[in-house]
Order: sequence, then structure tokens, then C-alpha cells
Amino acid sequence: MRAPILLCLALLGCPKTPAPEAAAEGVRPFPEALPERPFVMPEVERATLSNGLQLAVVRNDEVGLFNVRLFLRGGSSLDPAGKEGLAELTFDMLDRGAAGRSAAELAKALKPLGGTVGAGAGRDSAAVSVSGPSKNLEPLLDLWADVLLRPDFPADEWSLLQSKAVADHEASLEQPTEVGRRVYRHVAYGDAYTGRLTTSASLGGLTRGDLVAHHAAVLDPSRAVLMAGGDVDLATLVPLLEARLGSLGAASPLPLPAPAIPAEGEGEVIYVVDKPGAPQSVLRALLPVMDRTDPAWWPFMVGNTAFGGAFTARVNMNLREDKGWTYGARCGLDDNTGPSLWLCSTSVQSDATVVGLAELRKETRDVLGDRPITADELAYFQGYLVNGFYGSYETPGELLGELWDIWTYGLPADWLERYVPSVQAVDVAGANAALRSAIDPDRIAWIVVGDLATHREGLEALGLPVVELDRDGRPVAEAP
Amino acid sequence: MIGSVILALAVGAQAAELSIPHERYTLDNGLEVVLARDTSTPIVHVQVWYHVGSKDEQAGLTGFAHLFEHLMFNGSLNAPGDYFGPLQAVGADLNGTTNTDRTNYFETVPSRYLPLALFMESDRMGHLLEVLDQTKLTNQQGVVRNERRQRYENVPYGEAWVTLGEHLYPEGHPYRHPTIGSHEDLERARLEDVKDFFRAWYLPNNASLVVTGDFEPVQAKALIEENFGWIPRGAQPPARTAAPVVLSASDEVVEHDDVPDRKVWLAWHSAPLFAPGDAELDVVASLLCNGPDSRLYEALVRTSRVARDVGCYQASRQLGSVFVVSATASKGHTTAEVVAGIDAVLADLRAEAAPTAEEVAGAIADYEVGFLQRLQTISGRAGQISTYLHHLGKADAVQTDLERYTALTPDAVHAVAREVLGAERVVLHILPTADAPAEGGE
Repeated sequence: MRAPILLCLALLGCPKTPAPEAAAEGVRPFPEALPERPFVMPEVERATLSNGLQLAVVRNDEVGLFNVRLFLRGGSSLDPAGKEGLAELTFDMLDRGAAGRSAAELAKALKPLGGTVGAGAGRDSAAVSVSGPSKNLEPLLDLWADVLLRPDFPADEWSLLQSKAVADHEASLEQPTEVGRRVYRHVAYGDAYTGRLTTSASLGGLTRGDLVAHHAAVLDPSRAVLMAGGDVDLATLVPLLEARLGSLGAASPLPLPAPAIPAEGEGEVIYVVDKPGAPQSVLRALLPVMDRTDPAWWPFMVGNTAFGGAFTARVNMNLREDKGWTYGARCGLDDNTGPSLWLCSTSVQSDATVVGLAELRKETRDVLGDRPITADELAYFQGYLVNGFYGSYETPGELLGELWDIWTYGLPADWLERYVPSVQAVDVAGANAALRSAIDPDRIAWIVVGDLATHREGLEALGLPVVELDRDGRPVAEAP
Repeated sequence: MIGSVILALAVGAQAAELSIPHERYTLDNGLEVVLARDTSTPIVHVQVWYHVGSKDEQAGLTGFAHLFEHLMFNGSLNAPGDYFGPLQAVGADLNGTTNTDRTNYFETVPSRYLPLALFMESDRMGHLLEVLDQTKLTNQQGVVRNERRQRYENVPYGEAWVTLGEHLYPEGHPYRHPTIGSHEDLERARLEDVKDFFRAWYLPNNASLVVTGDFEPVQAKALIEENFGWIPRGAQPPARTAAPVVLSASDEVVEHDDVPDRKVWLAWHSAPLFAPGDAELDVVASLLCNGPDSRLYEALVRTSRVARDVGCYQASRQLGSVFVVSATASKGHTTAEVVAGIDAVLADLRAEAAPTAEEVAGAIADYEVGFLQRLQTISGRAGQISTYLHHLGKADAVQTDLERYTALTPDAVHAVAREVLGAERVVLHILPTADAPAEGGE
């Protein structure tokens, strides 16, 4: 294989070979690469605790710090309808009082040890972590275990957190990018768990009892995994964790929901959310594609990288580097336990709202039609993905994050070893076929968060249905 | 041990000193070079700092240093297309940033592509102007104006710092205007301004080159000489200076905007980065605002509940820093109540409620861990070395930098808190438009 730097795209400025007479002052050839240096993936040490809890450790003692994290499958996907926000606030409460210590007392215990304990819930998982200097490993693990297993959910702390959560939520509705994020999930999934959005009402209706019950029902070793990185080793950790987590186990764990199936969709529609006076419009395009485990994920991911997944990909080079309408534009994959979502995101100056959407639409139809990804583009972005892979494992945290993905999405255990050959195996026909098969341009949902009074007419002139949504993704009745 | 980079490990490790083993030298054209090797992963990081920031801009051309940074990504004589092109082909992670004090550029690449990274950085240091044209300038003016809209204007409270700057600094002060500049000035920039700026500031004798990670030192030095050695030295640009700003009176500013909550910022002038009094204020910020045991959180968020959040920090800069306290009023409360609550806590701190040994030790331990985390990656280490070169003229100051914190006593922290927080200040309230007084008969 030729060194990837010899590949080039006219758009990106190929190294020119000057004609001899044109060898102007200062002209220099691109340099040759040095010999390949072997990349060795950091070793992952594994063990299983007596209660079935799996542990993965990646060592790196460069600065004497460690990190231990318990991941739990589930996250917000376990929120019952009407109680959106339950998992998130349950985990936010864990370090606000545990084992008889108040929030302030916990903080006072952690600080002199240089330690941090954190807890949070995301869409499909929750985590409770501890980090700090490895010489304080044992006392920090004690505090972490208190927060994880023995939270007190103090009533006064709960009232404080709940009112903050409602106020923060209402403030977030004034952030156009956040509104775009909320609305796209609802457009994609409707009322399936992952499309249900937290509201002031759902947050305000939660009770302390809901949180206590949620905590008790999610701690189950069979759907948890422990990951540790930094200046720690397996032999030291196992007995320390056995002693602290031996009691981990839910009497009756909440059943995990089936992966959410995206809503059927209404054909190619422009959904608009009004933000009067906005100097920019948030634009998004979305479409559910394939599961992360689908073999077609590889050619789709590589093809999409060339289309919109990097600075030098078509979408950014057009909307930013040619038109100057935006600070950046990307298309990527939002992976889920069900089908991944293909998602394009940008913010364009207000007066480019309609032309920006039209241009993104044209780029999409072009790549699926008469301007498919070329062999040069494909080779270029394969080089980008493969070469960039090695730098991603400089610290244990990055590798542990990948292991978490493997576990969450049910990927093959040797997924990391497969990465480079799988990217390299994609050919130009396969990449284009994957894009065409997954992206039906007549089903793309477009989302615009911007000044509707200014743009409604122009958007309607594009010839697509224009549906106004509120900031919770619900249709707004048309004004008479 | 994977890569023996940092000697002396861990918080409180006894005796041994923290250091980044390195080699430092200067090319004949004045370019400062530092090499710090770490072969644990086959990647290498190249970081170039130019000693020019928004403090060096001329009146009427605010935002220019940052606009110029963008143009450094639009091609040079031997790589005339987008700068990202050849580097992303080899998987590079790259970017550039501009602040008040300096402009930097960096890329991490697989170590076999060190020649490419050095070639690209040197080509734009030596050969930018040959291919720069009005089309590129016009395009990036549009991009930067959209960056301003995205990061400052289409975000609630996004321009708070812009307003604070106008009230903290007198007319003509290098920090009065924001690094992003104004739309008017960004549009005003001409191609000739760009060329003049390059010739005045983008000189090997006004820059540093730091290479960290997996390289062979002899080979790296030869490559650096080959790529950068030919670039001619220029006239040494003037160092920007400014007398410390002392506010003669406190200033209270009230603005109404499309925002969801009542928020307030209190800002005081303080000592420059690395000067005595700078680290002390990081500790003050921590004991006031960091965590549920902090003083302002306890008083305003937990007890009186007039605020739903509170934040503090020391914004450290070369010509003088700013210490900031900000808070969001709880529903039904005013920013005046919040300011009164903050003032009561600060008055106590300045009087008899001196920082305790426990507060200071906790803040230092927390700082130390964050400091070590920054040194974990080759890019973090290059950033630290570049910072020390720019501000202190040293390549490795990790031990003395950390000791600015570990050596602090409660008395020293108290003295600085009294001096800074007792001085005049700027208070900025940003309130929802619904709070605006009803318009009169105009």
C-alpha cells in the first residue's frame, strides 16, 4: 500500500509536481513517511468477582492516578412513561448524602484525598465513578461504595435538586442547539422510550420514593460491568472490590426494555421550531439506519465519513469552506441499542436558512445519485480512519470507553482488532451501496430551529411539507 | 511503567521532583524548540505557538488575530489546498486556538508522519502569503462571523464577557475587546492587513515549536532544521504591555435580553498569570464555589436559596487577570438579593472568617490531581511546555508551577482575598426582557 499521504483530492490541494521551468523559489516536495512503527494495543486484564460482576483493567502508571467506574445497563430507558428524568435525578442524588454523611461532609472527606466521586445516567446506561491518586485508593473506594450502595436521598437535598432540575430544564429550552437535540429524538422515536422527553411536569412529579425504588431496582451484577484504568492493577483491585461490592444485587431488578424501534416517519418533511430573532438557524437531518451490529454498518460508516464525518468531508467543505455560511457542519451516526440514527447537524446564519437546507439536501441527493463517493475519496478517508485509530488509545479512559461500547451494543469481543481490517475491506461500490440502501432521501426528516416568521415562506417554497413543532416536539396547531 | 515521562509520581509523593525530561535549543533564525520524548504510543504531537493574540490588535481591527488563525488553515505555497487535507489523510487530530495572549496550532499524528507535520507547519510559517487571496479571506470572514453567532449570540448570556470587558478596561486597553471581535471590524479586514499582520508577527523569532511523543531525537532535530531553518528571521515585534488597571469606582451594569433567568457576574481585577496572587485566587475560587461544602454554595444555594447555582474562577492572563463570581437567581428572587448574599459571604471571608487549613488543603489536593491529569497526554504536556515558554521563558516549570499551590498557607490566601475582593469591581446583571421597566411616553 502506498503511503496514504500520497493520496490526494483536488479539492483539498494535491501536492503539485512543478514543471522543471516552474520550479519557483521555495517549492518543496511533500516528505516521505518514516518506516511504520508497531502499535500495540494496551493490555486489558479481566476478572469476574464472586457475585458475577465483570472487571476490566487497563494499567498506566505515568502520573499515579486511577479511575474506577461501575457501568449499569439501563439508564433513562428504564424511566416509566410520565416519569422521564427518573434515572437521571436518581443518579444525580447519589453523592448528595450517603451512609450518614451529608453532601457537604462527603465533599469534605473527598477533597483532602484528591478524590472525585461522580454519578450520572445517560440514555442506555448509568455510571458511578471514583478517581484520584492511587495512594488513596482504599479510602476513596470506601467513599465510592457508600455513594453507590448506601445513598440516603436526604429530603432537603431532594427538594433542592428537584427545583434546580425543573429550572435548568426550562432554561435549556432557550438554547436553540438543545431544542434541536430534544426535537430530533422525538421526531425519530415518537413515544418510544428513547423519544420521550423530560418536561417540567415529569421532573416536578417525581418523588423521593420514586428515586429510592429506582436505585434499589437497578443495581444488579448481571447487567453491570466494572472498568478501571491508570495506576491500579488487577491483583490489588479484586480483593478490595470483593470486600466492598459483595452485597451488590437487586432483589427484583427492573426488566430492560427492548431496543426502541424508530417511528415510521411521514416521508420527507421539514419540522420547524420557532426561535424569534435567532441570528442563526440550527439545521438537522435525520434518518434511522442500521443496527450497530449490522455488517452494513462498516461500509455505511466509511462512506458517511467521506460524505460528512470529518472537516474535509463534502458537507463541511461545501457549507463552511466554500459558502462560509456556518462555523461547521457534520453528518454522523448516533448509535443506539436499536438502529443507529444518521444525523447531520449545523448552525447557519439566519439568511442562509433556506439555501443551507437546500444545499444539504442537494449534497445528500447527489451522493446517492450522480455524484457518488469516488475511489480517491474513499481511500483518503480510509487513511483518516485507520491512522487516527492508533492515537485513540493513549490513555486508559479511551480504551475503556470502547470496551463499554462493545458491551452495550453487543459487538464482537474482538471488535477493536477488527476495526482496521474492516475499514480497509470497504470498497467504493460497497460504500456507495451502503449509503444508497440506508438513506432513502424521501424519508429524511429535516429540523430547523430558527426565526420562523422570516423563513416559513422560503421553506414552503422548497416543496416539502412544513410542520411546526413546539420545544417538546409536539405539533403546533396552525394559526387561522 | 509504560513511558517514563514524568518523574516523581502522585500527589504527595515524597521528595522526588516532578519534571518533564526535555531538550531545548534555538535555531539560528530565533525559533525556540523543545523536544520531550515519550515512546509509549506510536504517535507524535507538534505544537507551534506564535506570541501574538487579540491584545496585539489595532483599533478598528478587533478579532483580527483569530481571523488570521483561520486563514492559516487555507493553504500555503507547497500545500495550497485546505490545511486539513494532507493531515487528515494520515489520521491527524489538529486545530488552532487564539486567546488574548497568543495563537497556537497543533497536530497529533502517527509517529511515522512527523516529517509531514513539520513540513505543513513550516510551510505556513514560511510560505503563507504566496497563495493567500481575497476569496479565502472573504470565505473565512463569513465563517468567523458565524462562529461569533454560534458561540456568542445564539446562546443565552453568550456576550456577558464582551460586556464585562467593556466595563473592566479603559478605552485602548489590550483586553477591552473580545478575541472574537465585532462584526464590523471582521468585515473591515483587507487582504493587505492580513499580509502586514503575517509579516509583523508570524516570524520564527516570535514563535516556539514543541514536539512531544514518539520520535528519534537526532532525526527529529534534522527534520526541524531542514523544515524551519530556512525561514528568515524578522524584526522582533514589540512586547505589549499595560499598567495594572485599578478601577476608581465600582460599576453596576444592567442589561435586558432574551434570556430565561436573572443572572449576575461580579468581576475584580487581579494579578497576572504566574504572578504572586494568581494561584491564591484559584484557591479562593475553590473554597467559595467548588462543591456542596463551599461557602457561597452553602449560603446562597443550600441555605437562603436565593440562587440556584454559583460559580467562581480566576481567569488568568498575561497582562492581568480577572476574578469572577457568577450566579443564577432562583425563581422569584432578584439579582440584588443574590449580590447582597455574595457580599455578606465575602465580607466574612475578608474579616474574621479566614480560610481554614482544611479548605486550603482540599483546594490544593484537588488542583494537584487536575494538574497531573493534564500531563497524562503528549498534547497536554506540549501545551504545558508551550505555556511556560510563552509566559516564563522556561521549558519545564512543572515543579515550581505546582509549588505555587502546594506552598500556599491560609494566611497567604487570606491576604490576597482581602486585597482583591475589597477593591472596586464591576457587577453585570443580565435580566429577561420581561423584567425591563415598561416604556414611558417616548
